[in-house]
Amino acid sequence: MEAAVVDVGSKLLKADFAIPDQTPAMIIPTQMKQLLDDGSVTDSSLADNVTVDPVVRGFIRDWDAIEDLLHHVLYTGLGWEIGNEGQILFTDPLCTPKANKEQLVQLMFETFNISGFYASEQAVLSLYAVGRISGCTVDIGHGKIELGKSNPQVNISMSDVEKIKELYSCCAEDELAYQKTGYSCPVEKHTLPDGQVITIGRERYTVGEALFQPCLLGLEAHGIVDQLVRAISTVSSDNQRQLLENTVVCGGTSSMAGFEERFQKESSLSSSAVQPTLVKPPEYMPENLTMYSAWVGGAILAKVVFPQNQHITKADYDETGPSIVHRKCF
Amino acid sequence: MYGGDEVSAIVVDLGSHTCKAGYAGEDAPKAVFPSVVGAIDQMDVDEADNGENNSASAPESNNNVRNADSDKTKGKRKLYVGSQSLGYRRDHMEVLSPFKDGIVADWDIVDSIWDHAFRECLLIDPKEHPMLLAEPSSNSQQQRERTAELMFEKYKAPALFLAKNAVLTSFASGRATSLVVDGGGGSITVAPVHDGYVLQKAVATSPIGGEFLTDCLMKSLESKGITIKPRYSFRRKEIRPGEFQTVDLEFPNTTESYKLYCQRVIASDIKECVCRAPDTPYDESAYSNIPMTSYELPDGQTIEIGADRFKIPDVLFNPSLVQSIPGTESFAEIAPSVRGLPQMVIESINKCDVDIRRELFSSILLAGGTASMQQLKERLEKDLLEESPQAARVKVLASGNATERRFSVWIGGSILASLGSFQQMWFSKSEYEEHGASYIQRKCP
Repeated sequence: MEAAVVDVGSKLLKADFAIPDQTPAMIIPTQMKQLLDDGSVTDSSLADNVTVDPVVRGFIRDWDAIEDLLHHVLYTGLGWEIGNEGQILFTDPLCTPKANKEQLVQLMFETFNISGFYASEQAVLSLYAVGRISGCTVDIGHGKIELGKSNPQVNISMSDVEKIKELYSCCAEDELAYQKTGYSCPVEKHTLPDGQVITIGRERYTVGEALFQPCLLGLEAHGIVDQLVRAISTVSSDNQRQLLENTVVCGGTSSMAGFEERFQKESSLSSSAVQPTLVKPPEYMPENLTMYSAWVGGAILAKVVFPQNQHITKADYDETGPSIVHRKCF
Repeated sequence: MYGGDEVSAIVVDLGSHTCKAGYAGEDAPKAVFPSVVGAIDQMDVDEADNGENNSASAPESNNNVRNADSDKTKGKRKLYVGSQSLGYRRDHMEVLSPFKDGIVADWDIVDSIWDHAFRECLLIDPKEHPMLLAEPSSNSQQQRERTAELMFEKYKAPALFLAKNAVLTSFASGRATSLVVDGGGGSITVAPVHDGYVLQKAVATSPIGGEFLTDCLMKSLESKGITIKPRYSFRRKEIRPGEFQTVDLEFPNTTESYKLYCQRVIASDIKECVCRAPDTPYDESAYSNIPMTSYELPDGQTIEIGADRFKIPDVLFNPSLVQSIPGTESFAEIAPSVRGLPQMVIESINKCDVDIRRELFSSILLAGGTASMQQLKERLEKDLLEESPQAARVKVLASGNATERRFSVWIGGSILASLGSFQQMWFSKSEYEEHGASYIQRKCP
């Protein structure tokens, strides 16, 4: 049986067996609805308000919920059978606390009885997905972006906002082009589930612009290209060129229309002797790689670590306990 | 006694220039960020022009912002900690260090730095991890007790240990006895370590550290008409496809300390890229015709650096060189008392017991960012061979890996805190509650 690869993001969970050149078969929301203990679902308005976010900003926060979610993914989705569980590779966000890693290992070996475990950092896996082992990863995933409303009277739910963001948001060509949208810009009409029609104007550009000018949202921070250049400037000068010239952009938000062009333009304006250069994924990789590049990298890595016995085996875990994860996964 | 073998300890080395923090047992710190912080007095924020671009228009929503209630004389202020927060220019933001002359003078800043390391960088809850803190060799008893109070009372640490920087460097190289030359940002310290203890009377300190060299380089460049523009003061503009121009930006409410900080960051990078210790003492006439080295500044301007490549590092060996650098008049007051690195080493060893001098001469360890400079090891070894007693067998040791040399204090702490035999040495919370903060002197000698 192939090893399973699971990438749990704040918004989407990607899972499938380790076949790197295919889209993962399971791409499902991470958010869950909470059922009452008796198993019945109350009326829809109440149920809509009882949601559980097991993952917040990339880190697992609700372990009971994640256990239920993984149970669904592995047994229902991937067809695991009790008593015949396989190996699994997880992606880790950067700076995952050690306690989190140990808890995940413990959950997988003791509750799911897996036969092998490995974990690697999402940023590193995204580089593997495009065929690089050195470089810099810019991961723009799910987050709380609030759209300003043109129509204050409209009652709009968070899930509708998400859908509108995904459908309409885009990046302006440059900062000047964004300023011009204050005077005139194309307007889109969108019909809400209750039949109301709203117009979306400048807001669709503001969403993308906030990535490059966070001060638009009142945040005291540099735009992402500036942050990239500044982060790289703190490493040894010998490595800066290699890192910047192998920049990988991933995460669902980076699929926004016009994002790549804008990123490249901002790079040419950056105050750096070496300008960030985006790496194109190899042609044999599936389309929309940015949506799940960490998963693809995980699938590539799983082809290496499990056959070569570099992973944590059940025997390793039984002998050492959860702290084994710090010595075998890096 | 604390049974700490189940959870990883946290190792923190708050140096004069950089704070290093991470898990014990690992080979490098997870978090490395400046030891200075940005500070805005609350009164100033109200007066700031909120309409101005880049001003602090939404201070309450900032990441890495802590309200520090300190003495009435200081009033309320917002502190901005970490590379990212510090890298963002704000009106009226001063850059402050928690240290004065190597001693902690502002515990609120130390607190905010620790808080940033734990909660923003390592994402841990401090009450779940024993803490090993590196401290300067000449740390006072009062400072240690204050450290213990803060760790146990505020962070609820389950256990604590304080270890001298020099001892940790010694551990990192696997030696119980050595002479540690620690070249940090704010100073250079020479400390003999014997059987795991610092010989306090022989510790020597010089105010010439990495930051001092950076300042010398800045002043030397300025005297040649080269201006280092802070990153916030310009932006590139595309005037025609493929053709770019740099445009200056005006931010009149920027503080001088912040401007200097930003310029130092760039000058420090120049120093690290181009400087190396000369083989022999710097001689103006001999170096006046050497080839220039190019360096591209962030604003696109390329500068040529010649003799300064060798002159600036040689200040470590010959402090009187500073007087020949324009703009360093303020240093003239203390110049006569500052000795070069080889003299510091020899004087330190001569203050030790005769029986261990030979061993110290053969185990001179280099540590710290400034000691990672190219050719410094070779030069120091050469000078010591010439100036040391005939019988001494001089050996200067330094890791070939620049990262290990730079972080050797932290790495020593990582090794120490993960040793099984060390676990019974922790100063536990129950011991603190029973004996008080002064017990730290007995537990962490």
